[in-house]
Amino acid sequence: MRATEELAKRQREWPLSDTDRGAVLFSRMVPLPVRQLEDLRRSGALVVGEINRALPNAKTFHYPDGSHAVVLYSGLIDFFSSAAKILLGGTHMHIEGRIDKPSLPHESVIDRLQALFERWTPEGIAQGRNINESPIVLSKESAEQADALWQSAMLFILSHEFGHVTYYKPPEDAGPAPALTREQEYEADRTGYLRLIDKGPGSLRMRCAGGVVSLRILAVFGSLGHKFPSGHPQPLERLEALMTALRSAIPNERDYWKTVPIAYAYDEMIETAGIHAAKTGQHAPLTAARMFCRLSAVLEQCVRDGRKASFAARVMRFDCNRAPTEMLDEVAQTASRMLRPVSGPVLSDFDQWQNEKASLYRSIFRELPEPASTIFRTAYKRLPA
Amino acid sequence: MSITGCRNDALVKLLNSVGYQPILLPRTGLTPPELYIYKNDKLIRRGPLLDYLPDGSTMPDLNRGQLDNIEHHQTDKKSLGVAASFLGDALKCIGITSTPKLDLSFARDRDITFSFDDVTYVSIDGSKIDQMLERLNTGAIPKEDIVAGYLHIAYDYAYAGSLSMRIASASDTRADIKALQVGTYIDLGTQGQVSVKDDSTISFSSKNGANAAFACKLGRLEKRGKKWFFFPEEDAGESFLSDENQKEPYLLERGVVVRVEEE
Repeated sequence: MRATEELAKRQREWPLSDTDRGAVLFSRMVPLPVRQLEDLRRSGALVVGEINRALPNAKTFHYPDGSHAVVLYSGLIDFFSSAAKILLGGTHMHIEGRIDKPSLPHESVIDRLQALFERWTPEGIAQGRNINESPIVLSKESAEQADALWQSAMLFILSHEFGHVTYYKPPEDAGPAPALTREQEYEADRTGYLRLIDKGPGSLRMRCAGGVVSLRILAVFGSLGHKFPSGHPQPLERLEALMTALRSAIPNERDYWKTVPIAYAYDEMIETAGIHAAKTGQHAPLTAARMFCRLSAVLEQCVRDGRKASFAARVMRFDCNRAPTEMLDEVAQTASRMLRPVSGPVLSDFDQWQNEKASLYRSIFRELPEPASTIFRTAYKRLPA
Repeated sequence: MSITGCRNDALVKLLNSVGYQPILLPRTGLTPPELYIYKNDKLIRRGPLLDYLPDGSTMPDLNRGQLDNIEHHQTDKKSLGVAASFLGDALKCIGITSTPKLDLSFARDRDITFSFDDVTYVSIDGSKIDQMLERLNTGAIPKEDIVAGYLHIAYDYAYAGSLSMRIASASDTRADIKALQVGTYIDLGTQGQVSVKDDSTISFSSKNGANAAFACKLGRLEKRGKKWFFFPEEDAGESFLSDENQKEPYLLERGVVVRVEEE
């Protein structure tokens, strides 16, 4: 079919020096969950492949014989892969009771992400980007998680592109095919993301982070001068819609906050690095969700590493000092609901950590600056156990 | 099918950059517009577009001119074996189709480059093709080739009046070709003539002036509903980024010389 011929042609024009990562990702999605897409794939009318082009882009081509080719540019895969390595390099991992300390300090993660973005600006690519970054030493487990993260980010992109195949209508005149409506674009994101969370690689938290990371990276690309089609919803709008979709897909609040901390943490780091690269500020804006995720994550770290509550309080002080009262209220309310001991018997390690987190949480109130200290304590006392 | 030894050659890239697909045509005397099928990497010539129009149709006016931006631009340096093969193919482009005697042993251990000279073009405007397509009857062309979008129209051919071969050694860019009895090494038969231009350059040309095109511009032909549409630009696809929003001329394949087969 034309799609196969055209993909092969493009791969001859921009030959790869290594494995076709697009084809590998595609093979991992098989069988495709949508009947129409799976039928296309089986008949050779839907193909996916990587071409060695530096732009961080992906394209979907439609052919008159009804076949479709999704072409992933190496620049996009390389970027996601590099960003994932940096993020995992700064991630505190717990593996079967063992602590795998981050190889990069937090500031270095932001600096390296910033440098990565600076190399991938449109001008940087035009001048021949330098991909020889200094290597990051990752443990086997961290490297696996980094792979899961970039693959999840790419699978989200790929799933979105499949939306362009699903909704495609052949044009009847000389113009291009009718563009997807904004609703169809959002729906392509939503179904792609939920599919990724359901069947993607790695842990649930990492799959959840993958979709967020991909859209946040695109949002930063936008701030650095890359252009997105004007008819498309812009990456930031898509990211907001994605988080709303995720919230609806995980109706249990406790499950939701269990799933999203890595996504929020990486999202904030990437946004901060993008702000540095664009030279428009110092910090990504603080939100109640980011602040609560940080609180939850640092308490979990204290429990797992055997650290004292004062460590968590120290980490949270910066947020407490810059958060407005309404945000502190919101975080305190969420924390009061989520950081309570498990009711009933302790059935799993997670229940055990939850109880220890709840205990630590109660003990940090006095170490937080005012008015956070009072707001957190009052909210906790007000909510019945 | 592409010919070997030319992938991403400097001259091929130059031609691509101005929208030309380098080709190797087995025939001389062709002018646009012509119908082709490009399928499974094979470019098959079907014939003049006029043959697919009702009787009595006339050929619109064609544009003719010089292609100064292509003239004298050299290929990459080629090894002796590749150069002999390239020369054999390139001679066909200037109308020398009989098997010539080509012994390039005198150029051993030297760098060989080629360039096309006296480069001209013949083209037809896209608007005139659009008018012709209103009356197109694809006749015996297989329906599956039409449905698949394999039909193409060549709307611009580039021709060369002569071919130059430049020979230089690594240490000294000039080689004393003048002292050479070129005729003992190269014999183009009755169709062509060979001459020494200067110390390092040999020139080849056709005796009867009947040249084959060495490059062409093509567009895709698609039937949408009941109407035919001609697309001389690349399909941009649905792009994640719109950074590449400049329309580019359509090419069968970048970086290669495509061998044309006759139906």
